[in-house]
Amino acid sequence: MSVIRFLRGIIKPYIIVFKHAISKPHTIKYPYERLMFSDGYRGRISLRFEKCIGCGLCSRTCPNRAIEMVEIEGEKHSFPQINFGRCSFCCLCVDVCPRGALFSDEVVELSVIKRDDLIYHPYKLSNPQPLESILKDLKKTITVQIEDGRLSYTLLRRREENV
Amino acid sequence: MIISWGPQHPISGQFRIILETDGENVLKLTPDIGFTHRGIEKILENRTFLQGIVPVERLSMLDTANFLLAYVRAVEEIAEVDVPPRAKYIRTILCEISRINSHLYALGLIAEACGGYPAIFLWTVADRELFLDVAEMLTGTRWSYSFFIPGGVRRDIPSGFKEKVLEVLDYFEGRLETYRDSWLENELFKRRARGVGELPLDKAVTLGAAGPTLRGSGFRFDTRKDEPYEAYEDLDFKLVSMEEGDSYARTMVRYLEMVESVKIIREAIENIPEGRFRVRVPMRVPEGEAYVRVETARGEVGLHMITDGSIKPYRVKINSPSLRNLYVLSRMPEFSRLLVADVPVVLWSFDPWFLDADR
Amino acid sequence: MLIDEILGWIKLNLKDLIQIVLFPGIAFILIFAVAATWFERKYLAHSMLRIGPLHTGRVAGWLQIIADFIKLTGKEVITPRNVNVFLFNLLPVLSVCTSAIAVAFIPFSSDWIIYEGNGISLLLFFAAASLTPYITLMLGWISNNKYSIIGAMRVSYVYISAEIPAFLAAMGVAIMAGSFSLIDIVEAQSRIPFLIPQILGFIVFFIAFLAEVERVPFDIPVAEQEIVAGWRTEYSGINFGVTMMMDYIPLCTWTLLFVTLYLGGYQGPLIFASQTLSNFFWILLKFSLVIVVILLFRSVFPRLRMDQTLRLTWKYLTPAAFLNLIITAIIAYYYPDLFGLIGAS
Repeated sequence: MSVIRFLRGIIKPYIIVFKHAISKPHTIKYPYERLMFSDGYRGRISLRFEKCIGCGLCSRTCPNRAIEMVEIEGEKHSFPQINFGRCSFCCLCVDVCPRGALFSDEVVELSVIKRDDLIYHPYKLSNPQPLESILKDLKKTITVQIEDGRLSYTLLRRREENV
Repeated sequence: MIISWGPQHPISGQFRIILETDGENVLKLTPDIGFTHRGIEKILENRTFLQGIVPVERLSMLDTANFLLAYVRAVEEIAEVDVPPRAKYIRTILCEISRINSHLYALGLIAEACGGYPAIFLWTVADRELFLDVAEMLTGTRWSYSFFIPGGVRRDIPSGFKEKVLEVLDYFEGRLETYRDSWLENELFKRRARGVGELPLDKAVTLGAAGPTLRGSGFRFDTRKDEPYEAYEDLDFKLVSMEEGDSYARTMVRYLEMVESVKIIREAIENIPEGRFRVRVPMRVPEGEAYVRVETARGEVGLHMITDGSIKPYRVKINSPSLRNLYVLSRMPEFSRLLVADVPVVLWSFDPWFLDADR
Repeated sequence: MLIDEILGWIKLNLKDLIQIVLFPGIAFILIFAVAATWFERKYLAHSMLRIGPLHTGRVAGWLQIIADFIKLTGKEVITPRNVNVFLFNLLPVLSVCTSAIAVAFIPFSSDWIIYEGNGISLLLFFAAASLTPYITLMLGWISNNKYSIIGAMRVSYVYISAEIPAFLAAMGVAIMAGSFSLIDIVEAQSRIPFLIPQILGFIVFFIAFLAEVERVPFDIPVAEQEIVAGWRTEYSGINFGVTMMMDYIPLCTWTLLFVTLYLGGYQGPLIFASQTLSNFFWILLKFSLVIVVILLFRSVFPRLRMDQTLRLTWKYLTPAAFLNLIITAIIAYYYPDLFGLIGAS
């Protein structure tokens, strides 16, 4: 009896792993394919320049002190400047903004060569770079779904159709 | 011979154990912690109660929601705020998702610790992705939720959330069977883990083990049952414990807890009450003191907070489960025979997370 | 003239040269090491629901292995303090050479073998293959590192305990075929492979040879979760690449021996016009299948502990191999006709 149980404990795992080896991989080819994030994803923070009233609440709320209020010549009040090197993407600034001037989107590709480039001036904050121009190789966006007890990868949109 | 296990070993993490060995037998075992000390307790003294939710999560990046819950509950207890029931249910759901995340990772890590290059480590990571997706739908981010604030939660449940969660749970139950068949019933794994690192009940209690380590030795204790918080009082779940006290029992406790967590999420999401999900908590919390206990994936965390009536806490002290389990590990060679090859298995059957041991 | 003499010598020994340099000699072993590394990475990646190497080279990242090798050659070779520099750098190369010698005794066809070995090629194979653990032991010892020494000690334990059951199991085959020559052993399996009459020996040999080639679940000497990288901890750069290659060369030779002893070697139906080509096809097919089965073990099983391995080999495999040997010997002595039934001599 114990021999049979032993053999079962050897052969069954082998069969299960072999089944996985011939099934479809779960990973995606990232710079060419990208997962679709859900609505309200807490990614890069951007600024609606005309809505900001310069109250500085975001700067005071930020736990990591990533936001600094800077003066801009020709404007009456100061505007937030975000250091993404310190930002932890908690988006408390987005939540506390009384005018809804700050908002977050699904872009997380913020890597730069120089550390200073991570400090986003209000002008840069209010002109967010679209995803297509950051990931130039992106061909399709994918969402993971469950169909009949298996994971399936549904193509959401091809880049060509989008453009 | 004195050899150092870690930090350059593949699965040691930011951690080191100094082993005194005689051949392959371990005579003395000294955990060397502090590689990731960041002074979180001091940082919390310099943050307002709202800002504190970000650093307190960095205690344990695998199980963020439960550690955050301890902090948030301490603030609410001092401020004497009643959290609306809807927020309590949402918190419970996220805490259990966080627990499943952590236990899945622990299951993968113990597989990795046993050697070879087991596929199950990456299967657990792949399935964890689904729960990260669910959490992302609710909170807007995948790991560091920063989702609980004093007085409730930050967002309400989005539309389609319930269907998505139930779908993921159905899939996950099938996957749990795969894990059982391919790893927990794997005869070679049983041989590596059974009878290894035995922790008798009396030792577990006197040395102060926590969480699945304690329950794996047969002590039936779970803060969720012992002192129910949030919505656990209304929910029906079993307290999992095993008698053997070895590495296999501890792994099995975590596995069965995942099964229970699935049940809890199912029940909570069906019975979620309507109403507000947040109440206002003033910036200034009155002078006071609170000690709250929360059952994290690694065991009970105790958070002691003292306030002096300002917008920041006067002092926060965190009693973390990983540190207590590492102390149990350091006393292990006294009552249990250990070989060098057993050290990674026993360590990861305790499932410590060095971030919250170092704080 | 000298050149004419050399050309004449080459013409005379053309077949031997092809065998040594191309197939089944140096080129075959090197190509196998590269291909097996690539296949293992790809196969294990798929078992883990990953894709594995993808970009380098157009088809399935096959150039990645070459790229990694070039990267290793470009790295600095660090020699630890207080070691014998000459031996430290010589031994990896030596270990590759000695472990590759064993392939000389494997028949790929009845007339395609590097050295026939005067009818004792099975014994010569074991003699050649047993050289490798000594060199590995020395490698670990001279590295002047605690992990290396533990790894070296583990090598000697595992090899000694696994080689005895493997040898005893192979003796059963030798009795059945009535010869120590691997060609005779293959010819004796023309009707039925020894897998079936020698089923006990087959199981013993399979487990023991997994331990010999340090595959999971017996990769104890290089257990990276316990002793960093075992005996190869101190090696870096191209020396490290050579020691990694050393993982695959015993795998190649021992699997070939396994196929030859139990799965009928090069025997198989004629599918090409040439008998030799057909034989090559069959032995390589069986060889690849066994490799594919073995490689997945790494993804399925944890590593056994040292004491468990020793208990398995000494307590179970060695008695089982003895039992198999005794049964085979009794049948060979009293009922030699039974062997005739299945085609063996």
